[in-house]
Amino acid sequence: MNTNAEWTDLVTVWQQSAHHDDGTEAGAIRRRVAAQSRRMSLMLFAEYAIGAFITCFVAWKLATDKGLDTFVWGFAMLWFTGMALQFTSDNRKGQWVPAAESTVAYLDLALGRLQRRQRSLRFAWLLLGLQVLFLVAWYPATWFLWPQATWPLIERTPALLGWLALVIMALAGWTAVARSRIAAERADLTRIRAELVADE
Amino acid sequence: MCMAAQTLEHPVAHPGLDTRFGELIEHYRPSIARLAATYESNRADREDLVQDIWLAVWRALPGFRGDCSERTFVFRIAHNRAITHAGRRRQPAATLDEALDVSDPRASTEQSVHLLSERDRLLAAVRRLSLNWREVVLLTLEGLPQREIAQVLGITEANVAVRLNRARTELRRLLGEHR
Repeated sequence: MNTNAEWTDLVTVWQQSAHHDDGTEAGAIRRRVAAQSRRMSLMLFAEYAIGAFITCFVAWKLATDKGLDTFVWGFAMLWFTGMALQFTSDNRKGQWVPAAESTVAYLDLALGRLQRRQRSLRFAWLLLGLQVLFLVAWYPATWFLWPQATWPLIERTPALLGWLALVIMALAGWTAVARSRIAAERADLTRIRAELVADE
Repeated sequence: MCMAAQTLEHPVAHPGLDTRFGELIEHYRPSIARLAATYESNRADREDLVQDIWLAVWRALPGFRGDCSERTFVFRIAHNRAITHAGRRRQPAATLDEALDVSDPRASTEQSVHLLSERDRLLAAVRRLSLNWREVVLLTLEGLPQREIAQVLGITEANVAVRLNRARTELRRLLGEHR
Protein backbone atom coordinates (compact mmCIF):
# COMPACT_ATOMS: atom_id res chain seq x y z
CA MET A 1 0.00 0.00 0.00
CA ASN A 2 2.46 2.55 -1.10
CA THR A 3 0.04 5.01 -2.56
CA ASN A 4 -2.93 6.83 -1.18
CA ALA A 5 -4.92 5.61 -4.16
CA GLU A 6 -4.51 2.02 -3.03
CA TRP A 7 -5.73 2.96 0.42
CA THR A 8 -8.68 4.85 -1.02
CA ASP A 9 -9.59 1.73 -3.00
CA LEU A 10 -9.56 -0.32 0.18
CA VAL A 11 -11.77 2.24 1.92
CA THR A 12 -14.21 2.02 -0.99
CA VAL A 13 -14.22 -1.78 -0.97
CA TRP A 14 -14.72 -1.79 2.78
CA GLN A 15 -17.55 0.71 2.86
CA GLN A 16 -19.40 -0.88 -0.04
CA SER A 17 -19.48 -4.23 1.68
CA ALA A 18 -22.08 -5.18 4.20
CA HIS A 19 -20.11 -7.81 6.07
CA HIS A 20 -22.55 -10.09 7.80
CA ASP A 21 -25.22 -7.44 7.99
CA ASP A 22 -28.21 -9.74 8.29
CA GLY A 23 -30.46 -7.00 7.01
CA THR A 24 -32.55 -6.90 10.17
CA GLU A 25 -34.72 -3.84 9.89
CA ALA A 26 -34.26 -0.95 12.30
CA GLY A 27 -37.66 -1.56 13.89
CA ALA A 28 -36.72 -5.13 14.81
CA ILE A 29 -33.43 -4.01 16.37
CA ARG A 30 -35.26 -1.34 18.34
CA ARG A 31 -37.80 -3.84 19.62
CA ARG A 32 -35.08 -6.27 20.68
CA VAL A 33 -33.13 -3.53 22.41
CA ALA A 34 -36.24 -2.26 24.20
CA ALA A 35 -37.06 -5.80 25.37
CA GLN A 36 -33.52 -6.37 26.63
CA SER A 37 -33.50 -3.01 28.39
CA ARG A 38 -36.79 -3.89 30.10
CA ARG A 39 -35.38 -7.24 31.19
CA MET A 40 -32.36 -5.53 32.79
CA SER A 41 -34.58 -3.05 34.64
CA LEU A 42 -36.84 -5.89 35.78
CA MET A 43 -33.86 -7.82 37.16
CA LEU A 44 -32.82 -4.79 39.19
CA PHE A 45 -36.39 -4.25 40.35
CA ALA A 46 -36.76 -7.95 41.24
CA GLU A 47 -33.93 -7.75 43.79
CA TYR A 48 -35.66 -4.97 45.69
CA ALA A 49 -39.10 -6.54 45.19
CA ILE A 50 -37.92 -9.77 46.82
CA GLY A 51 -36.48 -7.72 49.70
CA ALA A 52 -39.76 -5.84 50.07
CA PHE A 53 -41.75 -9.09 49.91
CA ILE A 54 -39.70 -10.70 52.69
CA THR A 55 -40.00 -7.57 54.83
CA CYS A 56 -43.78 -7.49 54.39
CA PHE A 57 -44.05 -11.21 55.11
CA VAL A 58 -42.02 -10.86 58.32
CA ALA A 59 -44.04 -7.80 59.36
CA TRP A 60 -47.26 -9.78 58.82
CA LYS A 61 -45.93 -12.71 60.87
CA LEU A 62 -44.86 -10.42 63.69
CA ALA A 63 -48.23 -8.71 63.69
CA THR A 64 -50.17 -11.96 63.83
CA ASP A 65 -47.85 -13.93 66.13
CA LYS A 66 -46.34 -12.10 69.08
CA GLY A 67 -44.24 -15.01 70.37
CA LEU A 68 -40.56 -14.59 71.17
CA ASP A 69 -39.59 -17.30 68.68
CA THR A 70 -41.35 -15.45 65.86
CA PHE A 71 -39.61 -12.28 66.90
CA VAL A 72 -36.16 -13.93 66.82
CA TRP A 73 -36.90 -15.63 63.52
CA GLY A 74 -38.30 -12.41 62.01
CA PHE A 75 -35.34 -10.40 63.20
CA ALA A 76 -32.94 -12.91 61.61
CA MET A 77 -34.85 -12.87 58.33
CA LEU A 78 -34.77 -9.08 58.20
CA TRP A 79 -31.10 -9.01 59.09
CA PHE A 80 -30.20 -11.44 56.31
CA THR A 81 -32.34 -9.57 53.78
CA GLY A 82 -30.85 -6.21 54.76
CA MET A 83 -27.38 -7.67 54.55
CA ALA A 84 -28.03 -9.01 51.04
CA LEU A 85 -29.50 -5.72 49.80
CA GLN A 86 -26.64 -3.75 51.32
CA PHE A 87 -24.15 -6.05 49.63
CA THR A 88 -25.74 -5.80 46.18
CA SER A 89 -25.87 -2.03 46.49
CA ASP A 90 -22.22 -1.75 47.64
CA ASN A 91 -21.08 -4.24 45.05
CA ARG A 92 -22.43 -2.07 42.24
CA LYS A 93 -20.57 1.05 43.32
CA GLY A 94 -17.92 2.21 40.90
CA GLN A 95 -18.96 -0.31 38.29
CA TRP A 96 -20.82 2.01 35.95
CA VAL A 97 -18.33 4.52 34.63
CA PRO A 98 -14.70 3.91 33.66
CA ALA A 99 -11.94 5.97 35.27
CA ALA A 100 -11.03 7.49 31.91
CA GLU A 101 -12.33 7.53 28.37
CA SER A 102 -9.89 5.01 27.00
CA THR A 103 -10.04 1.41 25.89
CA VAL A 104 -7.80 0.29 28.73
CA ALA A 105 -10.10 2.01 31.24
CA TYR A 106 -13.06 0.15 29.76
CA LEU A 107 -11.17 -3.10 30.05
CA ASP A 108 -10.37 -2.29 33.66
CA LEU A 109 -14.05 -1.65 34.22
CA ALA A 110 -14.89 -5.02 32.67
CA LEU A 111 -12.29 -6.68 34.89
CA GLY A 112 -13.78 -4.87 37.88
CA ARG A 113 -17.17 -6.30 37.00
CA LEU A 114 -15.69 -9.78 36.96
CA GLN A 115 -14.32 -9.13 40.43
CA ARG A 116 -17.80 -8.03 41.46
CA ARG A 117 -19.23 -11.32 40.20
CA GLN A 118 -16.56 -13.17 42.14
CA ARG A 119 -17.49 -11.23 45.27
CA SER A 120 -21.15 -12.13 44.71
CA LEU A 121 -20.26 -15.81 44.71
CA ARG A 122 -18.34 -15.47 47.96
CA PHE A 123 -21.17 -13.50 49.50
CA ALA A 124 -23.74 -16.14 48.51
CA TRP A 125 -21.73 -18.78 50.38
CA LEU A 126 -21.22 -16.47 53.35
CA LEU A 127 -24.95 -15.80 53.57
CA LEU A 128 -25.74 -19.48 53.33
CA GLY A 129 -23.17 -20.23 56.04
CA LEU A 130 -24.68 -17.61 58.34
CA GLN A 131 -28.15 -19.01 57.78
CA VAL A 132 -26.97 -22.52 58.58
CA LEU A 133 -25.24 -21.18 61.71
CA PHE A 134 -28.47 -19.49 62.69
CA LEU A 135 -30.38 -22.74 62.25
CA VAL A 136 -27.78 -24.68 64.22
CA ALA A 137 -28.08 -22.18 67.05
CA TRP A 138 -31.82 -22.01 66.73
CA TYR A 139 -32.48 -25.69 67.43
CA PRO A 140 -30.84 -25.90 70.88
CA ALA A 141 -32.42 -22.56 71.73
CA THR A 142 -35.89 -23.87 70.96
CA TRP A 143 -35.14 -26.97 73.00
CA PHE A 144 -34.49 -24.87 76.11
CA LEU A 145 -36.92 -22.05 75.56
CA TRP A 146 -39.93 -23.81 74.07
CA PRO A 147 -39.72 -27.54 74.87
CA GLN A 148 -43.32 -27.98 73.77
CA ALA A 149 -42.51 -26.61 70.31
CA THR A 150 -39.43 -28.74 69.78
CA TRP A 151 -41.16 -31.89 68.51
CA PRO A 152 -42.87 -30.30 65.53
CA LEU A 153 -39.57 -28.69 64.69
CA ILE A 154 -37.74 -32.01 64.85
CA GLU A 155 -40.41 -33.59 62.67
CA ARG A 156 -39.67 -31.00 60.05
CA THR A 157 -35.92 -31.61 60.21
CA PRO A 158 -35.69 -34.07 57.26
CA ALA A 159 -37.54 -31.64 55.00
CA LEU A 160 -35.33 -28.81 56.18
CA LEU A 161 -32.16 -30.81 55.59
CA GLY A 162 -33.45 -31.82 52.18
CA TRP A 163 -34.01 -28.20 51.23
CA LEU A 164 -30.63 -27.25 52.57
CA ALA A 165 -28.93 -29.99 50.53
CA LEU A 166 -30.79 -28.81 47.45
CA VAL A 167 -29.72 -25.20 48.01
CA ILE A 168 -26.10 -26.24 48.59
CA MET A 169 -26.05 -28.36 45.44
CA ALA A 170 -27.61 -25.60 43.34
CA LEU A 171 -25.18 -23.05 44.74
CA ALA A 172 -22.24 -25.37 44.17
CA GLY A 173 -23.30 -25.92 40.55
CA TRP A 174 -23.78 -22.21 39.98
CA THR A 175 -20.42 -21.47 41.60
CA ALA A 176 -18.59 -23.99 39.42
CA VAL A 177 -20.09 -22.65 36.19
CA ALA A 178 -19.69 -19.01 37.17
CA ARG A 179 -16.09 -19.47 38.33
CA SER A 180 -15.02 -21.14 35.12
CA ARG A 181 -16.72 -18.39 33.06
CA ILE A 182 -15.13 -15.67 35.18
CA ALA A 183 -11.71 -17.28 34.82
CA ALA A 184 -12.09 -17.56 31.03
CA GLU A 185 -13.31 -13.98 30.68
CA ARG A 186 -10.57 -12.67 32.95
CA ALA A 187 -7.89 -14.49 30.97
CA ASP A 188 -9.24 -13.06 27.71
CA LEU A 189 -9.59 -9.51 28.99
CA THR A 190 -6.18 -9.59 30.66
CA ARG A 191 -4.59 -10.82 27.45
CA ILE A 192 -6.28 -8.06 25.43
CA ARG A 193 -5.26 -5.46 28.00
CA ALA A 194 -1.65 -6.63 27.93
CA GLU A 195 -1.70 -6.51 24.14
CA LEU A 196 -3.00 -2.95 24.18
CA VAL A 197 -0.61 -1.70 26.85
CA ALA A 198 2.39 -3.36 25.22
CA ASP A 199 1.74 -1.56 21.96
CA GLU A 200 1.13 1.84 23.57
CA MET B 1 -14.17 14.85 24.73
CA CYS B 2 -17.59 13.28 24.51
CA MET B 3 -18.87 10.96 27.18
CA ALA B 4 -20.10 7.58 26.16
CA ALA B 5 -19.36 6.14 29.54
CA GLN B 6 -22.87 6.27 30.86
CA THR B 7 -23.71 3.17 28.92
CA LEU B 8 -25.21 1.39 31.87
CA GLU B 9 -27.38 4.13 33.20
CA HIS B 10 -31.06 3.80 32.70
CA PRO B 11 -32.41 5.75 29.79
CA VAL B 12 -34.81 8.49 30.68
CA ALA B 13 -37.68 8.43 28.28
CA HIS B 14 -38.14 11.73 26.53
CA PRO B 15 -39.80 12.67 23.30
CA GLY B 16 -37.74 12.02 20.23
CA LEU B 17 -35.32 9.59 21.86
CA ASP B 18 -36.83 6.59 20.16
CA THR B 19 -36.90 8.35 16.79
CA ARG B 20 -33.28 9.41 17.21
CA PHE B 21 -32.27 5.90 18.11
CA GLY B 22 -34.05 4.59 15.03
CA GLU B 23 -32.16 7.08 12.88
CA LEU B 24 -28.85 5.99 14.41
CA ILE B 25 -29.64 2.36 13.64
CA GLU B 26 -30.61 3.19 10.07
CA HIS B 27 -27.47 5.22 9.55
CA TYR B 28 -24.85 3.13 11.34
CA ARG B 29 -26.19 -0.42 10.98
CA PRO B 30 -23.78 -1.40 8.16
CA SER B 31 -20.82 0.11 10.02
CA ILE B 32 -21.71 -1.69 13.23
CA ALA B 33 -22.14 -4.95 11.32
CA ARG B 34 -18.70 -4.51 9.75
CA LEU B 35 -17.17 -3.63 13.10
CA ALA B 36 -18.72 -6.70 14.73
CA ALA B 37 -17.51 -8.89 11.86
CA THR B 38 -14.00 -7.59 12.45
CA TYR B 39 -14.02 -8.67 16.08
CA GLU B 40 -16.15 -11.81 16.01
CA SER B 41 -15.99 -14.45 13.29
CA ASN B 42 -18.56 -16.72 14.89
CA ARG B 43 -22.08 -15.82 13.78
CA ALA B 44 -23.74 -16.19 17.20
CA ASP B 45 -21.06 -14.10 18.89
CA ARG B 46 -21.34 -11.50 16.18
CA GLU B 47 -25.10 -11.20 16.61
CA ASP B 48 -24.59 -11.02 20.35
CA LEU B 49 -22.11 -8.22 19.95
CA VAL B 50 -24.30 -6.21 17.57
CA GLN B 51 -27.20 -6.51 20.01
CA ASP B 52 -24.92 -5.54 22.88
CA ILE B 53 -23.70 -2.46 21.03
CA TRP B 54 -27.17 -1.20 20.19
CA LEU B 55 -28.33 -1.77 23.73
CA ALA B 56 -25.37 0.26 25.01
CA VAL B 57 -26.09 3.05 22.51
CA TRP B 58 -29.73 3.11 23.57
CA ARG B 59 -28.81 3.38 27.23
CA ALA B 60 -26.20 6.06 26.64
CA LEU B 61 -28.28 8.15 24.28
CA PRO B 62 -30.08 10.24 26.93
CA GLY B 63 -26.68 11.31 28.27
CA PHE B 64 -25.34 12.34 24.88
CA ARG B 65 -25.02 16.12 24.87
CA GLY B 66 -23.42 16.57 21.49
CA ASP B 67 -19.92 17.27 22.86
CA CYS B 68 -18.62 15.19 19.97
CA SER B 69 -20.08 14.04 16.69
CA GLU B 70 -22.78 11.42 16.69
CA ARG B 71 -20.45 9.17 14.75
CA THR B 72 -17.73 9.42 17.41
CA PHE B 73 -20.33 8.69 20.06
CA VAL B 74 -21.61 5.56 18.31
CA PHE B 75 -18.17 4.28 17.35
CA ARG B 76 -16.75 4.81 20.81
CA ILE B 77 -19.50 2.74 22.37
CA ALA B 78 -19.26 0.12 19.63
CA HIS B 79 -15.51 -0.12 19.93
CA ASN B 80 -15.48 -0.44 23.72
CA ARG B 81 -18.24 -3.00 23.63
CA ALA B 82 -16.40 -5.00 20.98
CA ILE B 83 -13.22 -5.07 23.06
CA THR B 84 -14.92 -6.11 26.28
CA HIS B 85 -17.20 -8.53 24.45
CA ALA B 86 -14.24 -10.74 23.62
CA GLY B 87 -14.34 -12.23 27.09
CA ARG B 88 -17.91 -13.37 26.70
CA ARG B 89 -17.69 -15.07 23.36
CA ARG B 90 -19.33 -18.48 23.11
CA GLN B 91 -16.46 -20.01 21.19
CA PRO B 92 -12.73 -19.45 21.54
CA ALA B 93 -11.19 -16.71 19.44
CA ALA B 94 -10.83 -17.71 15.82
CA THR B 95 -7.55 -19.11 14.68
CA LEU B 96 -5.92 -17.39 11.75
CA ASP B 97 -7.46 -19.83 9.29
CA GLU B 98 -10.87 -19.60 10.88
CA ALA B 99 -10.59 -15.85 10.72
CA LEU B 100 -10.79 -16.15 6.96
CA ASP B 101 -14.42 -17.15 7.46
CA VAL B 102 -14.43 -19.17 4.27
CA SER B 103 -17.79 -19.11 2.52
CA ASP B 104 -17.65 -22.55 0.89
CA PRO B 105 -17.17 -25.24 3.51
CA ARG B 106 -16.46 -27.90 0.87
CA ALA B 107 -13.40 -26.17 -0.44
CA SER B 108 -10.06 -26.60 1.28
CA THR B 109 -8.65 -23.56 3.04
CA GLU B 110 -6.07 -23.11 0.35
CA GLN B 111 -8.63 -23.25 -2.45
CA SER B 112 -11.02 -21.03 -0.57
CA VAL B 113 -8.47 -18.33 0.03
CA HIS B 114 -8.24 -17.98 -3.72
CA LEU B 115 -11.98 -17.83 -3.98
CA LEU B 116 -12.29 -15.04 -1.47
CA SER B 117 -13.53 -11.83 -2.90
CA GLU B 118 -11.58 -8.67 -2.43
CA ARG B 119 -13.71 -7.58 0.50
CA ASP B 120 -13.41 -10.95 2.22
CA ARG B 121 -9.66 -10.83 1.82
CA LEU B 122 -9.67 -7.38 3.33
CA LEU B 123 -11.82 -8.51 6.26
CA ALA B 124 -9.60 -11.54 6.83
CA ALA B 125 -6.50 -9.37 6.77
CA VAL B 126 -7.99 -6.78 9.14
CA ARG B 127 -8.94 -9.56 11.56
CA ARG B 128 -5.38 -10.77 11.61
CA LEU B 129 -3.99 -7.41 12.68
CA SER B 130 -3.05 -6.96 16.31
CA LEU B 131 -5.78 -5.28 18.33
CA ASN B 132 -4.09 -1.88 18.50
CA TRP B 133 -3.62 -1.77 14.77
CA ARG B 134 -6.94 -3.34 13.95
CA GLU B 135 -8.96 -0.71 15.76
CA VAL B 136 -7.15 2.14 14.00
CA VAL B 137 -7.43 0.52 10.57
CA LEU B 138 -11.08 -0.33 11.10
CA LEU B 139 -11.99 3.23 12.02
CA THR B 140 -9.96 4.62 9.13
CA LEU B 141 -11.71 2.27 6.71
CA GLU B 142 -14.99 3.51 8.11
CA GLY B 143 -13.95 6.99 7.05
CA LEU B 144 -13.14 8.58 10.41
CA PRO B 145 -10.42 11.25 10.37
CA GLN B 146 -7.47 10.83 12.74
CA ARG B 147 -8.82 13.44 15.15
CA GLU B 148 -12.05 11.48 15.53
CA ILE B 149 -10.22 8.16 15.83
CA ALA B 150 -8.18 9.66 18.65
CA GLN B 151 -11.43 10.64 20.38
CA VAL B 152 -12.96 7.21 19.93
CA LEU B 153 -9.91 5.37 21.25
CA GLY B 154 -8.89 7.87 23.91
CA ILE B 155 -5.38 8.28 22.52
CA THR B 156 -3.49 11.16 20.93
CA GLU B 157 -3.61 11.96 17.24
CA ALA B 158 0.14 11.36 17.03
CA ASN B 159 -0.40 7.88 18.44
CA VAL B 160 -3.11 7.25 15.88
CA ALA B 161 -0.76 8.31 13.08
CA VAL B 162 2.03 6.02 14.30
CA ARG B 163 -0.27 3.03 14.68
CA LEU B 164 -1.89 3.63 11.32
CA ASN B 165 1.43 3.84 9.59
CA ARG B 166 2.58 0.51 11.02
CA ALA B 167 -0.81 -1.08 10.50
CA ARG B 168 -0.87 -0.13 6.83
CA THR B 169 2.44 -1.86 6.26
CA GLU B 170 1.23 -4.97 8.03
CA LEU B 171 -2.10 -4.90 6.20
CA ARG B 172 -0.29 -4.68 2.91
CA ARG B 173 1.78 -7.72 3.81
CA LEU B 174 -1.29 -9.69 4.88
CA LEU B 175 -3.22 -8.78 1.75
CA GLY B 176 -0.24 -9.97 -0.26
CA GLU B 177 -0.37 -13.29 1.62
CA HIS B 178 -4.04 -13.77 0.78
CA ARG B 179 -3.67 -13.16 -2.93
